Amino acid sequence: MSTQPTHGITKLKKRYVRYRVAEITLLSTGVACIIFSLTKLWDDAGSVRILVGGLAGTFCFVFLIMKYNLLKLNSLDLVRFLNQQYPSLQQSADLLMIEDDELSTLEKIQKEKTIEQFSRLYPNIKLPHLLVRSSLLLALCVGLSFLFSSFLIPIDFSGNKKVRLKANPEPMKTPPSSVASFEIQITPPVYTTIRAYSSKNFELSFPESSNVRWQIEFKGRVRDAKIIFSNRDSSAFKKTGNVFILEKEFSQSGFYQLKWNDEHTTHWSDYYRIEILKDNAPKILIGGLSQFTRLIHTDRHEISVTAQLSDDYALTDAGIIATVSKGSGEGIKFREERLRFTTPQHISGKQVNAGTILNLKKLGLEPGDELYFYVEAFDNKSPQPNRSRTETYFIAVQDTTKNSTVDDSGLGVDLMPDYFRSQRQIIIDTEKLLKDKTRISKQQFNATSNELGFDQKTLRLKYGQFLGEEEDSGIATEVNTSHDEEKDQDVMKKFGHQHDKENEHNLVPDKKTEHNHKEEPHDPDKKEDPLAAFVHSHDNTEVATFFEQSIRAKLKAALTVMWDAELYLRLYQPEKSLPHQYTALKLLKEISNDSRIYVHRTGFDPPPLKEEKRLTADLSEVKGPTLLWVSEKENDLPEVRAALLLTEKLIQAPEITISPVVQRVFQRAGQEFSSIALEQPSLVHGLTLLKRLAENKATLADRKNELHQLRKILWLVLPQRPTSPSREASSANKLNQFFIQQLENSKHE
Amino acid sequence: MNNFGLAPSAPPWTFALILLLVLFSLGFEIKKKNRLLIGRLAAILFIGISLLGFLFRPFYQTQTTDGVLLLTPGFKISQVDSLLKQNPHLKLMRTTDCDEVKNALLIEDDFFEKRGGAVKIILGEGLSSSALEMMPNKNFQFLPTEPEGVVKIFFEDEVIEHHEGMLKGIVSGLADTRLRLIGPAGTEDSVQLMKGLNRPFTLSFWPRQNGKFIYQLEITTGNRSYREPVPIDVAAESPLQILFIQKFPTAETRNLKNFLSERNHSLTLRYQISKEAYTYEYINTPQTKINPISRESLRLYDLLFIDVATLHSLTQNEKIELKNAVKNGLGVLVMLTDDPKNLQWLWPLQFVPSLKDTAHIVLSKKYTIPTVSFDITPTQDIYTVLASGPRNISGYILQGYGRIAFTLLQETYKLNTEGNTRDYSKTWSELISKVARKKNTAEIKINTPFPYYTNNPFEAEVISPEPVSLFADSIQVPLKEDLVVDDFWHTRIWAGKPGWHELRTKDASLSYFVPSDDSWKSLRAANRVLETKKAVRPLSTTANLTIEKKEISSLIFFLLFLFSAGFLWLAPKL
Repeated sequence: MSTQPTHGITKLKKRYVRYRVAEITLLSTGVACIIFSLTKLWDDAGSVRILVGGLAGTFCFVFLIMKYNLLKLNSLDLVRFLNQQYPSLQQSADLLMIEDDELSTLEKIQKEKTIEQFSRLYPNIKLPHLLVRSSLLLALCVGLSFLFSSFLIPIDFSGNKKVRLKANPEPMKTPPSSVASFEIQITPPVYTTIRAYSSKNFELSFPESSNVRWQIEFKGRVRDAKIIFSNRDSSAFKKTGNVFILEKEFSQSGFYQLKWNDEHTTHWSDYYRIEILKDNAPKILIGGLSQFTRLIHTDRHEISVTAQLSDDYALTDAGIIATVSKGSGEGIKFREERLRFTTPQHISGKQVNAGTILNLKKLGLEPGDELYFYVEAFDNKSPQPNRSRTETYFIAVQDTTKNSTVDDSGLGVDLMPDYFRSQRQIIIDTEKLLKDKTRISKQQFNATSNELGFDQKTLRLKYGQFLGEEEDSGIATEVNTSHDEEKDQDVMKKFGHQHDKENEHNLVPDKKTEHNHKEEPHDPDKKEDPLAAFVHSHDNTEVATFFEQSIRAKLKAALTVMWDAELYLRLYQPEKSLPHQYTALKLLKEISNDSRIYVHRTGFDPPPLKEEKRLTADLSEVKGPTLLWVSEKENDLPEVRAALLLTEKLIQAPEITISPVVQRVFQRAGQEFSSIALEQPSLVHGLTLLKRLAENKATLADRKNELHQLRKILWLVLPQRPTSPSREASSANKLNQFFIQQLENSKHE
Repeated sequence: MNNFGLAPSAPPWTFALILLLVLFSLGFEIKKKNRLLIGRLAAILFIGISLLGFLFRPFYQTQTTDGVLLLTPGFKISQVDSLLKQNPHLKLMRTTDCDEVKNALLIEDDFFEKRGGAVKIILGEGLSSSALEMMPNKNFQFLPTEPEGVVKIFFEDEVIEHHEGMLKGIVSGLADTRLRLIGPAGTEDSVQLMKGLNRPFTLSFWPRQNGKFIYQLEITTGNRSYREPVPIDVAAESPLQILFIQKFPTAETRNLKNFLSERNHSLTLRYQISKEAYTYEYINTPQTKINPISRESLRLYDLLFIDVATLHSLTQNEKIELKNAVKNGLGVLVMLTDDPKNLQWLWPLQFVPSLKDTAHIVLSKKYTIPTVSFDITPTQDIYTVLASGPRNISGYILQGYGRIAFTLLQETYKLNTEGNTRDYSKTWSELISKVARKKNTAEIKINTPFPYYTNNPFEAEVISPEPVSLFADSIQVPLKEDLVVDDFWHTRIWAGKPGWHELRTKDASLSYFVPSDDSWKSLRAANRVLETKKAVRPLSTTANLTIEKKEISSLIFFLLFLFSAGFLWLAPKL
């Protein structure tokens, strides 16, 4: 290091300037990158974007240079910095910049000391700069600009939203050669907030209900012009001087064709596509809530509902439609309420995260009640907004105290008391248990499995009642009963079945199982029961049932399977229990279907037959019905198929000649194809190709390429039907016959 | 070594006569006092020599070798060098489509006819069958160069619209190969093959339209990619005449009836409503009499669906008629619902009770379909169509020209009602197609493997009990009946311009495709290698030494005579 203090300060100043310039360059480059990538929103042209980015970078550079005052930086500024940062210089660094002649003796002495101090400090002087931070910022900016460049879609220069709402999959079609200039102005509906824009392409793609205005100027004198739409509707242009104008609103996709008359002939354009971008209904996504929620009275009765709402344009309203169900059976009552989301209070914008808390108590839910709700949302479409809703969500507050049964007047028996878990519920719970196996402790798993086993047992006992089985133990608790008590009980009574329902007598009697008490043989050994004549007891479990024999067999089978299901649940093997449960459910469903009661038909009472005439009629004239019909032929697109074959033939030909016959084939195919193009506007190019070939407009060079394109479109249009049987080919000539005969002979030998 | 000789065309005394004449002339000239004596004497001698030359035709003999080393496309130059080193007497020649090589002469047009026997070694891909045929003997050695690319291609006998078509072949190459089958609407199927010799491939496609189409087979090996034309002649679906005879209609039959009628098949259904009363249904077909079942009534149908109960109730006569109808080509599909015992008169199948009443069938996905609860004891006579593990679910046996089929499946209509129409269709279509009466196809066959090139011959065969006219694109082709096999005719046809062509007789026709000369080179090379290998009968590769007589041209003697005589005439005037 030079010991010349002035020289040292000058070097420090230069170093500082270098640091700052480097820092500013990095920052400016970063800014230029960001601006370059952001300008893609306005324009795709590279040169404009480079210019704008470069200007932004330059502006930033100049601004920061000015900010750091680098142009006017002098040594005194640095001296001031040294005095502030290094106290050991004793605020005398400015002496270094003054010639000795101008200093007093004392100042000279001080200067000497300062020089000595400065020389010691010089290697360690740290000048302020943000080089590291600037480098990181540059890296971030470059990364961001890459992201922007990749994902940004240009928007309208006028500040509107996307002009190209959907990229055209096909290249831009050239306008008819007779069109001198044209402008197509598209005005989307106001609610879309998309400003009017103009299209440079006759192929149009715009939002639903947009207004389209064609303004066309033709070459030469044109008398009149019109547009023919795919629905065979046509609209005439208004003529203003030599300019033709037509306006129309569209809500359906299709295609159109220009038609104009000059003084001599009528001209037709190609077909152009009209693609409508439908305004979709809002999308609703409810998070963190299962469709079925079951609460017990000790649970917190507040349910948080959060919904992600989104729409392609804007949302205007959303809410929760909640229905509270109270009571059961015929006493059930419903109350419907519309609840608003609490956050945000007002629904607007394209995407909203709405949420609210459903206070079940405030909604009046009590144990045993249920709440059904769904979320609905509306968008800003006018005049009729789009509405969408979610699936219905269920919240049930369980009533653990209720255990009474409700008689079903239809069946006369209570098949499914609601405090029992049904077989289906047990299956669902078993599957849930198996699903949660990895998450819960073994102890909990076993306990739940055991509980399910208990439920299975309860169900079995209940169904056992219908078979005449008596409960061997209580449903709720298993209480040990003393043998003394058992002795006192009538064993037959225990396993028998008492008529305890009055409604049983309303059932249709089963001939097979109908009891004829009068015909019962009298057992002399049997102790005379004085009450026997007055009671109607069914003591035999085999016959003491409400059901027919076949149903009884099924019910017995179901109970047996339930035993197995319970066994495995008790053994903490719910996976082995599940197949038995499914079998039980299947059997129960069959029983349910079989046990329907039908009322005997009444009415026709046939006259008595003469026995001697039975089976003696002459049936020779009685003939069975004969049906003769032809299956409906589906639209097999015969003209399109003919055009496809012709296209293939032309492609293979060394020279492609479009003769009048060929033209007619393509013309007929075009008529058939137009209905397809109407349903699928993306295929309108096929219609254009058919028209060009039918009119023999394509140049010799283009023909092959157009035929290849047409072949592909026509092929794709043909339906892909499933395989059907077909006669296979075989040759049954004399040689083969002889061969087969020889084989047969050799087989017999 | 050269030997001179004479082939006199005049008697020996003429020699003496000419000699005398020359001596006399010499003496006469010497006596003359004219100038240029030596010149005149020499002229007389030359005249004498020329006269002798005319009359006695002198010749000289040379020893030559006629062994030829013939180069064909794809030969390896290293092989040529080493072969020439071993056999220096061999003459190097090349075919017209072969690359130029130093010292290799191009063969003449009539080379194979005239000097074909001289060919001792062939290098490269070999010769076409027509060239080989022209060679008088095939005593040569063939050192082939195995071609790379598609070396074998197999076309299906018949490709039907809305049926999956298959293109099979074999690829050879020293690099990984990617094959892509491109149809009218784009890629149909593709396959990636590892490098190696003779790797088989199968590509599938689904034709939506009948007609003649050219698909493309894109072959990519390393950085090289090229396309070959694949001619596909798609036949239209051929509707069947189907007869259902059942005791009573079932849901299965009803669904099958709807499915078949929608696809334009002609159906006749007969259900029994009382002992002698039947209900009939005719779909897409006029009303016909089918009661009682006879050979005549069954001749109208391609396939008979019949249930076991109806089979049991047939009269003895009806049983005989049914069996005869089957022998003549009728297909019978027995709907197994009841116990199929006591049907030995119809088929030799053995049924055993089974505990299984369902079958797991894998179609587009796995299905469990109910079946009848018995199995069929497998025999060699059964052709399985559908199997579930070792269990035959559906299949058929051959009886004469006809087939009798069974299916254990029940309630397959559930597939259809559940929306799995394709799988339902697949379950039945294959079985029905295989069992139904076959249609007679063209009795014309091309015996030469594809490809056939313009102006190249290919062999065609016709089977016909009587003399028949064969037309190749409206040009009649002469047929030659086989010496050994009756009703078997051969012909040779020269392929026309690239594109589709047709061979046609009065009752049959066959389409074939002629590709351009620059396509399917690997396939052509593979065919030639195979043909040349088949033709070769190597006996000796050493060249024969032959002595060749070469006459001195008469023109020389004539000119000599003319100049000498002229000089004698001019000399006195000089």
